Amino acid sequence: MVEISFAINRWEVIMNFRILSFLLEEAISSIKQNSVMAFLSFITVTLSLSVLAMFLIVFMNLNSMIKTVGDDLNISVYLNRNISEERLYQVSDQLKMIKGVKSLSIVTREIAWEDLKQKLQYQKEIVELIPGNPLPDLIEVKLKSFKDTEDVLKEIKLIKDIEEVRYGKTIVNKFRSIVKLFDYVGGIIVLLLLFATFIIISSTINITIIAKEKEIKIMKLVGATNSFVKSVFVLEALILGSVGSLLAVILINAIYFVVNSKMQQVFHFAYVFTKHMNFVSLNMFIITIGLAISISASFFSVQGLLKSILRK
Amino acid sequence: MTSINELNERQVSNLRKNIGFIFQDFKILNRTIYDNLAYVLKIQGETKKSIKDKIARAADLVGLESKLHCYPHQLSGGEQQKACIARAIINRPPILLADEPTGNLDPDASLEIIQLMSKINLDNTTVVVATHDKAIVDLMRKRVIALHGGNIIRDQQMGSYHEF
Repeated sequence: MVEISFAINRWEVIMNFRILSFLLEEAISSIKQNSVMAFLSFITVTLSLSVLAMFLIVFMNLNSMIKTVGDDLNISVYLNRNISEERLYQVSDQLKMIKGVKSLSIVTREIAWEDLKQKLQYQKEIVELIPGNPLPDLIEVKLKSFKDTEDVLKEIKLIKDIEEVRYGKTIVNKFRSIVKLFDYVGGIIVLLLLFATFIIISSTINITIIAKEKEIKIMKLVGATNSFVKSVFVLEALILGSVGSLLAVILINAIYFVVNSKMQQVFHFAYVFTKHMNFVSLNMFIITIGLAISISASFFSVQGLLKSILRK
Repeated sequence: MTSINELNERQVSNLRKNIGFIFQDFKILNRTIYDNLAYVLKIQGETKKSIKDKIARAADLVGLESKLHCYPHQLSGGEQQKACIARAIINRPPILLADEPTGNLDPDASLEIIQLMSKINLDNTTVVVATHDKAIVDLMRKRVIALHGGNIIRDQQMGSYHEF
């Protein structure tokens, strides 16, 4: 009994495999039949995904550059002049506890005074005019991300014995607004491009469905189920999307390496364009997006236009 | 007794696989006759060998062996209708339904199609033909069921187009 059931299951798997390969055959032959439309959709999918990839490359690099520069900014915390060494280390410990603080370095008033004297070694008369050491203890605070500046500042201000806090306020704010702008504009452009790709694939499938309306009806009359007919179009879209995204990946990698090598010859700082890029992830992302959009676009067309044709 | 309106999509599809259909306008896909015939079998997951054998048998029965690799536009109306018949009988269905099968054909081609359907009938297949072709009905002298306004008004063995 078990053997019979196994044999039946095996037979079903083989039969389903045959049907699946026929579906694939049908999808490819449909693409061949509408070769002009298919060629146009390959081109549009490739171009829109290439533009998306190019934008992502520029966006990721600029965003990363801005963040790197911004993250290098420190907060300088000057302490009251009359505090003890013990208190200095207490404040340092309190600063370490603040969320967003990456590291800190202490510059005691003695070290700072020695540094100043070193710097002014050719103007000794100026140093002699200063009575004693006028400098305060300083703690340089390095942040995990410059985005945390405001929150960290609020916490610092709650600590006692701090005379003054200095940081590149305008620079930080400028960086923050640039990063925000990039996030918003980038997000909107990416969404628009994805939407455009969706519409292109969906329209191609719609046009194919309209062109094959008569054929679809005949297919149904000779025993094809609705799901079989639908699957042909979903597979067709999947082929369009995967070939289009593969072409986009090839195109964008080729363009990137040509442009990058040319730029490095002209601008020495162009290294940043390779420093922050993970091409494997980008390529995988573009292919995944291509497939996801083609599948969803085909479902959109199949559930809409094809469903209404199949109902007739 | 089940109404076909109550059948689900898969049941309708299975029912269609057990009924052969012939249409006035042939309803042939724009691909070779071989591919048209193979389509029916491929959606059922048949093997290549079985597809080849069944196509050869059906083509032999309708006399289209030499035209299997032609496209529909390369065939005459009569030949297209023969291809449609070959597709309809490829699975040896117990019933063959023909809707005005000679409606688009000249008298000679019509006669050939009717003779072909008689041959299929002799091979244990029930053939139901809906037609307005008086000459064909009178020539065949088979069971005639006359309909008017959706109601059966006559059911006659060895009948003719008009009731005597």
